[in-house]
Amino acid sequence: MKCEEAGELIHAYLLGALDEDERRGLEAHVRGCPDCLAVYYEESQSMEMLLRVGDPVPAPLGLRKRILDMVNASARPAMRPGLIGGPLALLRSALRQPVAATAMAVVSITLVVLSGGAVLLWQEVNELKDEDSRLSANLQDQLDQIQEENERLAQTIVNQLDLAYLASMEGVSTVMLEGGDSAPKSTGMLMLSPNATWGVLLTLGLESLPRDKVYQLWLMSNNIRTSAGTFKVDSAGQGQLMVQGLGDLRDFENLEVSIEPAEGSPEASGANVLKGPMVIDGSQ
Amino acid sequence: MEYHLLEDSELTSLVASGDQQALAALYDRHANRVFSLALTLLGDYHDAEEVTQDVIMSVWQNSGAYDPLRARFSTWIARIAHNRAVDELRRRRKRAAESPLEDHEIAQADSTVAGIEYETVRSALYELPEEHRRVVYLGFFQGYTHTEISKMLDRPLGTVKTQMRAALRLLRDRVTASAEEVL
Ligand SMILES: [Zn+2]
Repeated sequence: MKCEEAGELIHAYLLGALDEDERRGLEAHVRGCPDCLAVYYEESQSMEMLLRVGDPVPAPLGLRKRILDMVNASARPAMRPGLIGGPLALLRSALRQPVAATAMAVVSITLVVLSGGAVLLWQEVNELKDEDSRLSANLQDQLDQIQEENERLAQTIVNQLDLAYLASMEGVSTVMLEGGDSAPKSTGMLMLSPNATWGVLLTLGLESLPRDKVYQLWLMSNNIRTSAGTFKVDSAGQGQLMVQGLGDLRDFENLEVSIEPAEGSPEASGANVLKGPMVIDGSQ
Repeated sequence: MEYHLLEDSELTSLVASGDQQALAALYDRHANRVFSLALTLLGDYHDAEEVTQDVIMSVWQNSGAYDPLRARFSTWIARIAHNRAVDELRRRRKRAAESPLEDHEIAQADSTVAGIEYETVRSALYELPEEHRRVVYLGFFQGYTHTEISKMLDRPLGTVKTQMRAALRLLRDRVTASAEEVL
């Protein structure tokens, strides 16, 4: 999608008036395009306003108690898979050893803290820059790293929104991946949307990579290998990747994650860290 | 803990760690808004109640996905409510299409919305030119896609897109202006 087309679709998107394909296409574009993202934020004010339409009508009297009873009865969040009780809990139980701080809540808080920290560091670096034009190579390096980390965080946030959206849908199914020879302790899960035209890959226990490497997801069918995108993981080994635009994902037979050069590879070249057959674990 | 003194973002963190009282506090703060929005869109008390329950439960399950840097909590939860209500509207239309009755939808578009108090937004909406107001009603309040709206109103898709953009901008300018008057 080009910026021009995205610009034309943004308003219908804000009104909730795009069909599924257009919505996906637009989100994919906006995610990767700072210009359109800026337009989106600018224009989203009117949508926020529409959401505040109307005087509050009191919610039904018994509803509060009913919800709290449900919550209480389920002890942990249940009903439909959610970020807390759903995919990550599943993923954790698939891991034999306990993984520290895997709850998405913690990830989310970390994101905020990290971005805050990154901003501070950024400011420090910039102040130094002003003070002393002989910015050391080391600081520039840190700055690059922060920028890179910020980009990754931004991507993670967008993915989290996709994930939240996915988790709220009925008929979501999952495919489990297990650690390959070079990363036996890692695990992964692909959550598929009900019609399996898109999904989100979650990984746990993968090692952080040097800056010139990324993880790349491959989908295979009839010995043909298709790249489904690249991702990085945070210091806790968690990674997320939005998978879309490849048709019905159930048509593929196998999944594999390998370590590749930063720009991704046309063919898998590096160590295989996750793998699994495209076997649907069933709808939740 | 004095839950009512906490910010929404603090409450969502607590909810993410399984704190039910924090959820109750968020409910007390936002349930009426969510319910009103759902009622506005659906025009049915029982359906609005279900949507509200659904939305609060999804806050319970997904509060970790809320990012305070990205949006106010009230916006986030309202978007969830809007999505759910629109899903319900689309389901209703599907059901209606399967057991064909007449199509009241367009006629309803105005009446559902007309009975609700809008405060500032209402006057801004009413000040929109009729053709712009129509696309907002059908899109935002009725959950039709722009392609559907183009067919329903027999307007070219490009026109519908342009009208949506113009409508949103007019609304924003109008509400910004009245906010400035207040200050
Ligand atoms: Zn763009």
